[in-house]
Amino acid sequence: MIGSKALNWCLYLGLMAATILFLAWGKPQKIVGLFFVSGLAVGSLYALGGIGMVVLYRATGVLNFANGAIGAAGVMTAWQLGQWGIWEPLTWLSAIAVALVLSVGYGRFIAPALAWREPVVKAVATLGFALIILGFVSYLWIDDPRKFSLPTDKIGVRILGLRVTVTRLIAFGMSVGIVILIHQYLTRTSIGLHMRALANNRDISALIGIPILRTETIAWGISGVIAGFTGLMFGDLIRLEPTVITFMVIPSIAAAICGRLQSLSLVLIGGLSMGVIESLLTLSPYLKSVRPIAPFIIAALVLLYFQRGRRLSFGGAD
Amino acid sequence: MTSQRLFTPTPSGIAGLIFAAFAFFVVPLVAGGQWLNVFISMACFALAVAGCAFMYARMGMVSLTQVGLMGVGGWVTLRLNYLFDFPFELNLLVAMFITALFGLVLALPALRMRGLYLALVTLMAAAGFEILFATFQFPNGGDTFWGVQTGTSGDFRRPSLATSDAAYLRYLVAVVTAAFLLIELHRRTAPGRAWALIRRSEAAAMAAGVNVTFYKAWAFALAGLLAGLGGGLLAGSLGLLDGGTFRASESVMIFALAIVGGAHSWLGVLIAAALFRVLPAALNNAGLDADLSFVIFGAGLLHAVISAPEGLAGQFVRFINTKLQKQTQSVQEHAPTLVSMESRTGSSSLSNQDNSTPDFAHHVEIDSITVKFGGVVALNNVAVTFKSPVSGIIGPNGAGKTTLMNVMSGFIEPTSGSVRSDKNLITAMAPFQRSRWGLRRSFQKEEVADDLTVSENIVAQIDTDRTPAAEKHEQVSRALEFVGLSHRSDVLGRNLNTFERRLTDIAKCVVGQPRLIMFDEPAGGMSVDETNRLGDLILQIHEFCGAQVLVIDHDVELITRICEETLVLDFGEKIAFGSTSDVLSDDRVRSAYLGLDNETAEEGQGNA
Amino acid sequence: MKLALTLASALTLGIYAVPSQAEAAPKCGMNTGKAATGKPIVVGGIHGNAAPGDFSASTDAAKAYFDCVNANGGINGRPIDYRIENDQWNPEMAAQAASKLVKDAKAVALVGNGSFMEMAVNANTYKQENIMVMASACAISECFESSNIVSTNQGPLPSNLGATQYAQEELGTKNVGCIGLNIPNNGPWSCQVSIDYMKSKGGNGSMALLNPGAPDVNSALLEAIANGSDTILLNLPSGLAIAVLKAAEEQGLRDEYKWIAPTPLYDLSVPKALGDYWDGHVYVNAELAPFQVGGPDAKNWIEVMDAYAKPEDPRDTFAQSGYLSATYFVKAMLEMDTADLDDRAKVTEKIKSISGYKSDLMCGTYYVGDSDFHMPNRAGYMLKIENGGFTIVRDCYEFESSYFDKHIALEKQLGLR
Repeated sequence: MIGSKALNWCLYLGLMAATILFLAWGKPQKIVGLFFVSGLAVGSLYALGGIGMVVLYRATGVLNFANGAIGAAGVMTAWQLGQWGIWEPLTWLSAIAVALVLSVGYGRFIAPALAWREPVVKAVATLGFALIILGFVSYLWIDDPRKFSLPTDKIGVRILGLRVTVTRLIAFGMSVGIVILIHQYLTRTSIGLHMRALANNRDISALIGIPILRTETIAWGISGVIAGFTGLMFGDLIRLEPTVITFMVIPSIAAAICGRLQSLSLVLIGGLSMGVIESLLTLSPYLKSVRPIAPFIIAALVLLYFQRGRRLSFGGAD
Repeated sequence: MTSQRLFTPTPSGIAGLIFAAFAFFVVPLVAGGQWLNVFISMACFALAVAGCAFMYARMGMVSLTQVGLMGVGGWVTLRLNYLFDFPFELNLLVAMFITALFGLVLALPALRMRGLYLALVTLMAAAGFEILFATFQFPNGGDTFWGVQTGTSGDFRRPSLATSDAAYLRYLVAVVTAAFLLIELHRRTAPGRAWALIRRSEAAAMAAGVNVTFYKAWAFALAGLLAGLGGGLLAGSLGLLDGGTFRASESVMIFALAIVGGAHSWLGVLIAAALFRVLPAALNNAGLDADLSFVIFGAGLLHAVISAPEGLAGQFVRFINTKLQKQTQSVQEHAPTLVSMESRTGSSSLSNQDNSTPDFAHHVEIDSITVKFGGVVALNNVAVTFKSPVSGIIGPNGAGKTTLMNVMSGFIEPTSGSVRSDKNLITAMAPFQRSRWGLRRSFQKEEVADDLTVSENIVAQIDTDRTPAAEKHEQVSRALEFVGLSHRSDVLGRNLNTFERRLTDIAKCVVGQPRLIMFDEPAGGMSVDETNRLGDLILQIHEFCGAQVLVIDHDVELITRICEETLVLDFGEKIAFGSTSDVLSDDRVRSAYLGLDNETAEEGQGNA
Repeated sequence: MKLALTLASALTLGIYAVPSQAEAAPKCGMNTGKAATGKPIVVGGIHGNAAPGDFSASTDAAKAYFDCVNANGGINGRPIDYRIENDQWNPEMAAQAASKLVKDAKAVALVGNGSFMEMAVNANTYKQENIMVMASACAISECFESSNIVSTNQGPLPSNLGATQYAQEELGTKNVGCIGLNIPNNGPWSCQVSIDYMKSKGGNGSMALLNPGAPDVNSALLEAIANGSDTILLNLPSGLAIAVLKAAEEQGLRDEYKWIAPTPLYDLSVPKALGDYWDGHVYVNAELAPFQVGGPDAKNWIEVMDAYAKPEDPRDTFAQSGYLSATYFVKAMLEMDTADLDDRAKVTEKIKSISGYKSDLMCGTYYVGDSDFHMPNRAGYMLKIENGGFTIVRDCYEFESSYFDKHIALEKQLGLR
């Protein structure tokens, strides 16, 4: 079992490497380097979004479509406070706090009402939450050119010919760091253990006395913090537009699919490889115009590959 | 009863028709230019909503690509118009056909997944369409295949009947009504029954002779067709389209609104389409920011998923129904109530019947079946020939009983070996073909589709038979009479009690021309009294329809009473076979059953 | 919560000096000082405000001017009932908005329209209904290539060309990379003329197109660089242009390339949003007079805005353009026979006959003319982002392209040349 899993991922990495080589073949190294690093930067954002969703999905069975909207609410708050001249670190913290409150609020008061519904319904319900947040955020901050910057934007290092800001390094580092931290948390702490138990089987977990509400609330909290941080990164690195940030969940879901909504490290690898391939497609004269489609095609293929040979015989199971 | 239901209007259908009449006769007269445009948009999107609503409500499948598919229909319509200047209807037909093909492609992942994963794959497809539209643009003009420059070609040709906005709205109302009736027709005939069974359980559907692949593909193609129609009509309203209309987020929104409105009913679909297009326009006219419609959508969605599973339409219909019921309560006093089972004649006169049937000529030959799951051997070289009208298979949990039954149904490919019945090689057929050949089975859990009536559940089993409708009707009545459910024939599956569901299962097994019927723990969860009646029924089956019967059960008493010969399995091995009384006195059988207390997880079926 | 850019903030930035008694009452229309009380004349305006851009500045400014006119005698005593609709960048909404104004409200003309969508959807409707649209923030080809739409702003095509022309002549540009939106009647249409211009001067050019909803703007920038450009032309709405410049800043690309942009970047909030890094490095073409030129109309515009617009309404080129369209419309209406003011056909006829209107806000002469194309405004200023504001690096100059041959012919016919 473990062997075939490793084999699958060797296969995936091999295919990705082959695609990258194919796209980069015969192009000047400097240009390839530029696109590669730019792709990693975008990819780490996909991965970051995906990781936040998977952490929550594993523990609660909810695929949170509102992840982006929560982040958008957070970063818009930070921007507004910045405009009012509040000390910057405080604005970042408030972004994360807003995201935390929104996430835990939903997890505590709305999600329990849907605890026994099928995963699709739970996911669709979070879409309702996303729309409410998006509606209010767009109402409060009408469309206008805005820019959100972190001080780390000004500091940069040169990698493969591309100047990379410390913000991007933070986004990349955090996506790796969060994967490691969450892994440690799940294996080392009792709440982490409970989350893993919930991920495996909710019904049995309830019977053996896992404190479901508490465990889930903590999971919502963790995902809220990640969403807030992701929102700050999206606002800084992509665009400070609530609609754009809200619907960044779609490529984030693509990254999450690469980890089958289960494995954080695979989400990371998936997200990064999507970003790189998308970026390198710019080098192909035929495919450059459709390059943003890459994450979705990769995700759909991964999903189809995992489900190959499966038969849907019995009700209920996905 | 089926032919009656074919034309019986539902409350939500009536509401929908009233709305259609309103949109056809009143709106064009009173509405100004703006509201005509709003209603035209609403009608186009109603078609897309209808597609994802019936997929979700009838098949339990979530498709988040509907708006993307609308874009395909719109693209094709525009392209044909500007490139070839064909008549509108021809463009529309080609667009519908091509979009249906795209829908079929989406059915491919649906063969392997459902639920959240399927929803996500369709979402990825929608995101893909969004990018394709943004990249290649809509052909709002241009004289080459990829040409997009607006204003470089002739005008968009609307249908000659409907060039003005008012006439176009009437045209749309007629088309949308026809499309809704088309889906309703599907729902009330064989495809609808097949979808209901698939929604309940694909295994049960296959066991009922439903070609699951075909009907899934059909549903996706139909949803695609509707979306293509909607997209083509939308193109017709403006003569030009923009990628922004067909974003992935809009596909998700359409699905969400279908839930808010109520995916099960036509009224719900109309409410969803109205929320999507009429509400923002109304807010705008009221001087409010259209962003607020997101808040209303979101709140409506949470309300619907938490407290109104049938959506706003469901609440509305229930409200009307309670009003009506108050008025007609006195008339309904004598509505049919559950007739006691005891009232059936001759129900327990059979227990002493001689089990042996000397002239029985059928046999089922299981030839060295081996099944391995990875390294686990679930069945090891099991070979046995059943020659009696009713035979039993017993064994402790995990012995391989259900695995054997699944091999016979075709849900599990045996690693080696074959099954024949009267020289027919059963293992060579696809599951639904086995059912059509005459193999029937029940499952540990009753597999009765909730949103079909008892008789529809049974008709679904013989939908593919080539017998005339009247004959089928007769067969269903006989089967219902046989199990004693005639008085419940028009009750919906979800309103049956457990025993009635089990009886419905048995009726499904005996209707038509079954040759081999397999019951998987028919007495599970039944009271002693109910078990006895089941036993009686099973004993009568051969006489009723001539089929051979195999019964799996733990209830040794039941097996002893009804089975002439019995196979005993333990850990995938055959440990005994022969006449039931001989087998049950076998020492090995007794020792195997001593281990019954150590039972662990439920084997193979995974019905949980 | 728009960035409030009032006159006051402009003053603090020290861009230009206006006498502090600028609070003097603005001059509008008949300038009677008495509110108009007669039967209202219905006039419409459609803007597009949704992601990825807000084009409501022009209708905001037109509304301010009409409010001022109504407070000053209206059109011979009749107030203008100005109704604004938002197309939300959505063709269906655009059609609804036009139907509402043109068919339902029976507007006599539309003034101040600004959109990426509306004109393409409604050009035929306007023609069929015989109504004139005096647009102000036009971005797509239909605005300039249809019979019933005339726009006061230049649109991206001339403005790009102006920026490119300046860069070729003054900055030594050899190869321009035009980053535009992948909207056929916007990006490719408006980039192409600049590329053709470069080629006609022995240089080269290419375009890198961006999907309006795409989150990643960096790859378009990298694509422009990979195409071998030495100058990047940011043919984008201001929000997206800022995002591209930010990506360039991140990668430290400022000094290796020259950065030019058409009018959308001429917004007083832009230098602040871009920060010190870009100060002195971005050249922006302005279609209308920059604020520091400060002619009488420019001053009156600011006064109208301060008196009648909301403080958060932008004071940018599109606001100037909306104001100008509104003044031209009012001027034409005042020249009409009062009995004909509700007659749309007469109003349309009058607007089509407009010729030789002048303003210090606009380099050239405004005219309409009865033709299938309109592009009266084809000259502008070149500005540089400097010291947190804009400085003029080239005064009024006319842009050159064979695309304009038919316009020049029409101008000669009207006696304007």
